[in-house]
Amino acid sequence: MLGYLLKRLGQLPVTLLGLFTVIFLILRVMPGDPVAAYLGDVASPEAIRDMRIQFGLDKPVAVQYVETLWGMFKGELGRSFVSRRPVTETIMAVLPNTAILALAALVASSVLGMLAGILAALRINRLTDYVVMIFSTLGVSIPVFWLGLMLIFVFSYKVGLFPVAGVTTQPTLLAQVHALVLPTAALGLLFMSVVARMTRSSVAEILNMDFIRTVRAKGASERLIIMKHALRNAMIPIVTVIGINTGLLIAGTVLAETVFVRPGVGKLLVDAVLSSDYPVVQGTVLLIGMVYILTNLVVDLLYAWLDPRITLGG
Amino acid sequence: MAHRILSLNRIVRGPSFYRRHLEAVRVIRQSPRIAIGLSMVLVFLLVAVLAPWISPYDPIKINLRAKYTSPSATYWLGTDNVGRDVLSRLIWGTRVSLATAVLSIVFAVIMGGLIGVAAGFFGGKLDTLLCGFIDILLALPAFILAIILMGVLGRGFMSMIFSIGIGMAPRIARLVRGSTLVVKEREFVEAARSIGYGDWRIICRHILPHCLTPVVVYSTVLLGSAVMLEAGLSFLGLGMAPPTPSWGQMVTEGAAVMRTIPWIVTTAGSLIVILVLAFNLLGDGLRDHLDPSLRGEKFRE
Repeated sequence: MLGYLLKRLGQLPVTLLGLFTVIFLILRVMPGDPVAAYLGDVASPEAIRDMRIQFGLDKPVAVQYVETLWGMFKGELGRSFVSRRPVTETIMAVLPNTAILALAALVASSVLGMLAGILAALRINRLTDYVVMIFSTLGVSIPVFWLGLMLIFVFSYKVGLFPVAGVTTQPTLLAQVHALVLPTAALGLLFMSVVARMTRSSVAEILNMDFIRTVRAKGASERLIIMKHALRNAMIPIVTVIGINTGLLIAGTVLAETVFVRPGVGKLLVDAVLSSDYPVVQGTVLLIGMVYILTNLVVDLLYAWLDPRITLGG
Repeated sequence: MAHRILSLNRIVRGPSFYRRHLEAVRVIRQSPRIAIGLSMVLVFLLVAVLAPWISPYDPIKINLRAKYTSPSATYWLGTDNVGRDVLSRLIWGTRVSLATAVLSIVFAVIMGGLIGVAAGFFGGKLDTLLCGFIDILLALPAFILAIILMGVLGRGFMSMIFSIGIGMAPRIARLVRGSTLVVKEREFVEAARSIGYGDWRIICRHILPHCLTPVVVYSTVLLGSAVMLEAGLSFLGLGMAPPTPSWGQMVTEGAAVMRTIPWIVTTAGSLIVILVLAFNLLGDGLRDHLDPSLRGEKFRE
């Protein structure tokens, strides 16, 4: 187990190096000049040359690559072309915002999704089941950004219950949570539907198994059957589906942050892409890649914990 | 006896053309999801093909005297910020959504198929190299990769097909590699090799046909994601170059004036939802029917 963990952690830098190389190549080798894009059409050739020198873009691509990589070993991701601030600092300033939003959506949608899924599995092929299935089928088809806009339209414009912006300068916890409700709902619905569908099918499958009949025959309460036996065994596919879909959550965060004008890593990435701010793009993408890979590792470790039959490493 | 001859006949000749089509009809009748999804997709396809004839106005013609008119008999769904007819733009937007989704998945299947077959069939160093490449691309969600590629390539139809396709290709590649590894060990491949068939012929005649079902099923599932990706990119301003009408972009344009004229956002967004729903129903139905083993992959982006 420990050996497996070390091996997987050892692979992390290799994949990240590969990811960095691919992103670097995409940004430098493909057409498009960040300096021209930044300074605009009216810039004089001297101004463009000065800026290229200032950001080290005049050097050969290979030299730029080694320099950027060396900087990263020292923990520096370079400076933003646009704001001139260090990238690490820029990312760290907004990272908590993104983490809070993503975690809130993850927790809320996992809990609610599992509840809905269990309910549907217990009343399979009955009204509750149909309602859950119809809503979750619809839920996986609604884009995050559009759901966000519709929530703003209904709950901010019409009802006036929640603020339009997904972030607030008021320091009180209540105000913060209040502003977080709509973005979380917009981001969470899709994920919740995915979890609900998976929970329904795996719990229903477990409930049909022989050992559940045995437990029932022993006179165990329905609650014990569900909580201790069915859910625990159904957890493996559920955890898988949560792990597989972290990508959806990350992509959704980008859109939710844009819709609710909430400063965060996703919005930072989009703004950097739109303004050809390469160092910021590189930094945010590496961070997203790292989070994505680590989540997958955590999911694999959770398997082993939930199902002792699975041995890792083999 | 009659039964035996019949089954023998079936083994020798395989299902006839007629029987194969009967099978399709049976599948559609048995699975309401496939039937509903397929008919919805067909309606969208029809609208896309007939766009020049059924749209009441030119979708990109600017008419500043008629900007932001409410829905009326002249303009059924009103007009946008420069007086373009919303309904016509929605109808033409169907083309963009369908074409981007289908072509990006076709691109992904070709790229991913080639990589997957090469990695699985030849194995060794090539496999290690290609798998490493796949793992790197899979270290990013498809949407994030597409955002970066669109930023570099610039807005437009071809960039969008490429950007979305690259995100989907490693997922197809992994699937095809897996199938190839299994099929490669089967007796008929050994038999083909023993009578002197070359690699190329074995791949085309024996390996690829066996990968077909899972790839078709998975591609259909991915089509819904591709529509979502296209809409998301367009929403961020990283999709089609204006003035080409696209639903995601119409949502952005409509969002600016949502408080007073909500119908642009609502109609464009609803169409995205319905098209994604159609592909999801079709994909899920096909998967449950043809290849239940893909279940876990269900919502992989």
